[in-house]
Amino acid sequence: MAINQTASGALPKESNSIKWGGLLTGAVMLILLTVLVAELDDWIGFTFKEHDVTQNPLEYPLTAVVVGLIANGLLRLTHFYHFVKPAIRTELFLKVGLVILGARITLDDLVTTGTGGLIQALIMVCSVFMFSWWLGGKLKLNPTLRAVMASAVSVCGVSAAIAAAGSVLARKEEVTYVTALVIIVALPMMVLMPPLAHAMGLPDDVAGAWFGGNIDTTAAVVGAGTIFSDDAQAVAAIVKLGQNVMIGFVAFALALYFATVVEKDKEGAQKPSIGMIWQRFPKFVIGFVLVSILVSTDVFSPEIVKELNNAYKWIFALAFVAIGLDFHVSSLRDMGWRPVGVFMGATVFNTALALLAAWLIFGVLGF
Amino acid sequence: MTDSKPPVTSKSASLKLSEDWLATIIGLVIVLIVGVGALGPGPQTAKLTAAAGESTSVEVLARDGWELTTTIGGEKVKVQSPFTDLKSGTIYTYECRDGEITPLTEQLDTATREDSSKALISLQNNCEAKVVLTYQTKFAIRWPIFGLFTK
Repeated sequence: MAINQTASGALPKESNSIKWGGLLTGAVMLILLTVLVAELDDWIGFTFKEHDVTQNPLEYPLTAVVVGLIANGLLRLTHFYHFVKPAIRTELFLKVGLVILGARITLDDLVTTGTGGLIQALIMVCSVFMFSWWLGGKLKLNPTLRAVMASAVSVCGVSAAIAAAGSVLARKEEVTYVTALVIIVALPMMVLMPPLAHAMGLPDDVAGAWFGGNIDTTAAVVGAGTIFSDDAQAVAAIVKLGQNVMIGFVAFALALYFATVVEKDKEGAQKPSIGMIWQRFPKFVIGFVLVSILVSTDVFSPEIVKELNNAYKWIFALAFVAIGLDFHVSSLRDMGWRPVGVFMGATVFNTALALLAAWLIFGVLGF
Repeated sequence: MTDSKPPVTSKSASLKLSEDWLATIIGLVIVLIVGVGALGPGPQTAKLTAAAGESTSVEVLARDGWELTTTIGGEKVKVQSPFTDLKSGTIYTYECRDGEITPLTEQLDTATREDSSKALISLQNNCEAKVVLTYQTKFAIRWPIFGLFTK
């Protein structure tokens, strides 16, 4: 008995120390990789300049993702990936970066672009959700998987998938499937959409609104915006934040629908309540708006604002490295073609509708 | 004995912050640290030395909180209301006359300089001794470490 007690007492302590060791090692590794990205970005920019190309076409998000992907492969090959995994907090890094990004966006811009962004978000979330839900039904997906997938494609990727899963009591595997799909699809979109937008001759705000309304993960939205231009980055971030704000409403509506229609007799389903809207509200948006107010009211000098712009670039670079590290295809192996088909179909619909909405709201109406 | 203990439910566990709040707090702390200048471009020093009858100028980083120390012929002198909050693309002129250094003008720089994001400090020495102006900022950790993402 005594031996058992010792053994059972020792195990959590040991796993805890391993977790902390992994967290610290991973954090140091991430910082070093980000510094490497910065050095590479500098070198790439210099090399292009030497060949009379003044604007570096390989912006730092691309460099960061590639560095992250290479590190990902090496870590998996050497079986260190799961040890350092606790430090790979892509969403956290990105949210911190978004709070500081508020320094780049004045309150006036926030109100103007934010209004357009909210209108676009409302159109996109409703239309894309309905389309994905309908397509999922046609291809006979589980209602819970349909709900998780439709939320992920229409709202904001991983966070929306998790919020929807809580509302409809989806299985863990369903969330993993959708999360993997979101990341796998978002990454090429981040790389391909900016040159496509350039080829179509889209202005900065329309391109930014297109990325923000279409790409699922906030990280990839900011990445695509950054690759296109600084102005596109700001619009993309604001439009995406508009969609993020919708998470609570979608989670509430799903919980209500599942509780009253789909699974009205099921035990344990999350009860819909107005509090759920606040519970799911992306609180970092408050920080983003607060920083924007501070900068708009001239609390900081222009030099300090310049330093803040440097700060968010470093945090975003860290987040983009983490995106590369997060990438994995293994979760998709057992999924089958139908969920992939629904996701791809919804993504194509999302892409076309987002372009139309962005062009109408930011191009024609001039928000 | 161990078995009889109730499961530990520490209070600290119930205080766990959500990722959103954690990100908001970290973000605001970074803004605060950068905002008060604790993180910045690093301690800066700019020195202007002008022999009697000569003029000189130097480019410095445009930022608030500069401190000025001055000497005339090696003797420390105090300047009344020196320029301490320096704006980009602006020329700040000092003049030494009759053993006194005075801030003369603050005007927009219309000439094209290599780095117009900086401020220009100019000194006209009409005194009969060597004048040294030393501009300094302190308490700032160098940021960004390698000056990257800024080019």
